[in-house]
Amino acid sequence: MSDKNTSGGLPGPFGDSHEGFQSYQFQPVYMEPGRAAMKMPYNEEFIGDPSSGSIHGGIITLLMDTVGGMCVMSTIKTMTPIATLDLRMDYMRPTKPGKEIIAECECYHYTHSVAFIRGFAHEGDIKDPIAHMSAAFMLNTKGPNFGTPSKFSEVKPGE
Amino acid sequence: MSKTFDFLLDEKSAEELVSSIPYARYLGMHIKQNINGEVIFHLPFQEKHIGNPMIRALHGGIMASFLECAATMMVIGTVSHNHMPKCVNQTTEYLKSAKDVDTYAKVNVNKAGRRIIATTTTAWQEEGQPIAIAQARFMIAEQT
Repeated sequence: MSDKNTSGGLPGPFGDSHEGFQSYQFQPVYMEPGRAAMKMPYNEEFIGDPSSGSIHGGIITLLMDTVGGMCVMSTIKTMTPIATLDLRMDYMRPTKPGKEIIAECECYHYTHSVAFIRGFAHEGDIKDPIAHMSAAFMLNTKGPNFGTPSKFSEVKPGE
Repeated sequence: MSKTFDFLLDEKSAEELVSSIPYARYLGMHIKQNINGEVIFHLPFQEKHIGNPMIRALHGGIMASFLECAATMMVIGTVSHNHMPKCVNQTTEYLKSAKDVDTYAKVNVNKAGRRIIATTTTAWQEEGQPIAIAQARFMIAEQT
């Protein structure tokens, strides 16, 4: 796993210049073809249950949607515009106060039009997950490219 | 015709409920009742909700968060009084990209069992047609 990209900072639109992403403080953990992971520090602003201090599922969904999108781009090897078609979250247990959350996703299949992503959110041990997500992303939707020229036509599905 | 559930919070206690949950406060959502007495959840647009700055669309995660918060509050207001329901799972279907304007949502409680509550939440913007629909299941403390 020496080819993992662990360099800090998210590309262009997901970077520090964005007001939302500034407060989420997502940091990339790794990105490799078909797989991506990001982590999020504990933030009291995102508490969903004040009695326990656990983080709201919504922000975990937001993290997993973002990682899912990065995972799609790492799979098709271009920053083409994509759109989430649907996203399912299963919450297995509440988060523990003070712990950072790590989201890991993989693209288990993709076609010319749709990429299928699944992943887990955990607090350091993927065997003890907080949540599971599965999502479908539409590829090559309308809208400007995220920076690099589209090479999607050169990538064969199922490789 | 499915059973309807009365929302037992007045506007003031509904706002107190929002401000008691840090993440709902972060999103900046509000609860209102329209002239027909329906409970409407309102998410005023904020710059931090943007997910794709190039097409100025709301982040899909913000949309899912708003729908989950709305459903949670509907469950608290109708069935699970004074108890924080636990979301078991939620599926969010994105029908249209959400624009940089205010978003509204309405929650239907499809079934309220002793332990599990099933909801459908529909979100819309200025044109009125649905832009996202979420199905969620919540677990509550057993009602006596």
